[in-house]
Amino acid sequence: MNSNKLPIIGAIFAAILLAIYSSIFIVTERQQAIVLRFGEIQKVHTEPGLYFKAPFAFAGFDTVQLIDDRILRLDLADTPPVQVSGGRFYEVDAFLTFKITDARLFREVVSGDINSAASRLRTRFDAALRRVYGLRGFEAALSEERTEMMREVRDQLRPDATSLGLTIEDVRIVRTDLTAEVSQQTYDRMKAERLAEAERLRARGRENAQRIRAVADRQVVEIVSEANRESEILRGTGDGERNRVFADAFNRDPEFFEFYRSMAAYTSALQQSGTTLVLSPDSQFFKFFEDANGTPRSPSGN
Amino acid sequence: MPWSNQNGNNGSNGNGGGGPWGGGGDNNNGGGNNGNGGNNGGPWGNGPKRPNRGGGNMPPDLEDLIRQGQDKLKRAIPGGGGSGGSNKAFMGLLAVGAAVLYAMQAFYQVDTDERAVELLFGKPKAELSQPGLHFHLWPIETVETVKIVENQVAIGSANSRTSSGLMLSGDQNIVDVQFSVLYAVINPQDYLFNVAGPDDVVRQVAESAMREIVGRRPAQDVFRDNRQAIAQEVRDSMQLTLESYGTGIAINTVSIEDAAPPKEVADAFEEVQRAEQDEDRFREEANQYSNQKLGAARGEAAQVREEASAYATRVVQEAQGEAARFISIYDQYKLAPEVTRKRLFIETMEGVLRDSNKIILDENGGGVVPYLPLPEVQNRRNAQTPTTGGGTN
Repeated sequence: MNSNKLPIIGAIFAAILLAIYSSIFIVTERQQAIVLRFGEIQKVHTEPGLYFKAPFAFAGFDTVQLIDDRILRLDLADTPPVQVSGGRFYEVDAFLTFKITDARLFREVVSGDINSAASRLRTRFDAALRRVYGLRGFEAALSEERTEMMREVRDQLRPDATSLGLTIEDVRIVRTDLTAEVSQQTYDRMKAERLAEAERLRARGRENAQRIRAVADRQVVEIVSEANRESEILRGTGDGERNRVFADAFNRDPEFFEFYRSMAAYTSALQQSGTTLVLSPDSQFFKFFEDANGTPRSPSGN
Repeated sequence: MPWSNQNGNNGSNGNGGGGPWGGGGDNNNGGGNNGNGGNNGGPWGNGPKRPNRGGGNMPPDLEDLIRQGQDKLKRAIPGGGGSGGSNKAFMGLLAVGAAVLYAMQAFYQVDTDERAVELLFGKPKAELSQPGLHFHLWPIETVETVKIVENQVAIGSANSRTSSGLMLSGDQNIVDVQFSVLYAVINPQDYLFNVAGPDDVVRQVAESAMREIVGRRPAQDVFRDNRQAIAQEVRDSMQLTLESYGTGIAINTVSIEDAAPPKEVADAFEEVQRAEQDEDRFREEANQYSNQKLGAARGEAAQVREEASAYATRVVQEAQGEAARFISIYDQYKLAPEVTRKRLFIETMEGVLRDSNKIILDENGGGVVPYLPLPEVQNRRNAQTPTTGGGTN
């Protein structure tokens, strides 16, 4: 009967399937693969695709080790402060990107273990960073030479990385910060600078204010004095006109003017003043005081 | 049993999602126990189902698949052998179920904000799957989808998990910069396959670039004057770096949300702003003084001028009046000089002497000592007694 053969057919079929399954493997774009036979590297596949190998890995035949083929990142953070040439310290974070380019070597040196490779690389990265920083002054390390420093670290790391089967793509410094103690000093300095700036601004304000006031005072004097000058000129013109008018009028008869003006002056000078006058009866005014005929007793008054 | 039957119906209707895959397997076993199983249906029925347990879109792990396949086989073979019988209906159901399951695996949907890459034996195809329904030859082909929406990574802000935004500027001041990077995937193949953890790379590169560029500039640039330029420079630098890694990411914008002095020195910075206000205030106060003084001065000047003008007019007018008066009198005087002269004299003397104290002394009188009691005269005047004529003859 068919039913009796079924398990046998099924078993054979399953065995064939199993053999096929264990003899093919897929390498994706992300990976590369090392094929090992009895511990010996048989082949390295770096391109993605479907590959064949000898089946039955459990019996010591071909085993496949998949290794990352992407750009990987190694961060270096929270390391002890890095000293620069002047003896001062920075806290430095950096990272590097690398790729496993020699899978064979990578398998041989660090057994294809990415963590172990990373820890070795980290040690060397840290050392290279400290070397490069140690050659720089405090300020140079901060800014201008950063690009140069990143390149130097990368170049120093390259031989080490190559010996691990890795290729350094790029090294980038993330942080170059002051240590906590220095930060406080920096804050103090910034504070002092800002306060100085504040005072400078205030002083400039006061200076300007004083200048504005002084200018205003000067302008006040100028305005008033100019007005006074014009005023005096105007008054003088008036006085001059007055003199001319008087002269015109009085020149008609200077003798009569003298008399007339004297009379006016007597009136205004002596009127209402309570003046005590000591008079002689001989004066002109008293000409008829004693004598109706009116010849003065002496030719002149007193 | 009712539960498994129901489940089987659901399976044939093609309603199953992730959950029913397992249910399908149970149903199969149930069918075998009912003694209706076909002669060689078991292995074929199980064939396509094996990888289902291995997971949907994950890259197939061959060893795992094989192990699971072996398990399945062990379970399926005794079931099939025990039943022995054949049931066409069940076979049909099984085939339909298998087809549905396969279809569900082989068809995939790409959303509007996604793009998908098909991989043939792990090798990505060049063309992308645009939004819509697509078919791929699973399990030979697999598919990976990528969101192409704009992503944001915030650095230095309060809710940022990793790092603070404190950084050193070129003049060795410490500034606190909070910024965001907006980026999008433009090349899904690169994004998926070139770099491990591309989003973390974006963050690290962003921080590195910002610190590098801030480190080249004085703090004042960062605080006020040059934020836009800095953001642009950071963007360019990031783009260059990310391109060199082949991340398939484009940086759309770097926006500096806040660039402030660290809180330890914030007060001193505010002091500067207060000082700026003070500076303005001092100037405005001085302007106030200036305006006040100048206004008063101009007023005073106007008054002085007007007064002078008034004076000039007044004296001229008075002079003209006085002159006219004189001329009038003189005209009359010319007609009768002697009489007029005398009259003027007498009238004047009359007026003068009427209000004065008078002492008339006759120097020819003799015998009278001219004693003038000046104090008494003074007193009298002080007592304000009206003038009275007093004299001796």
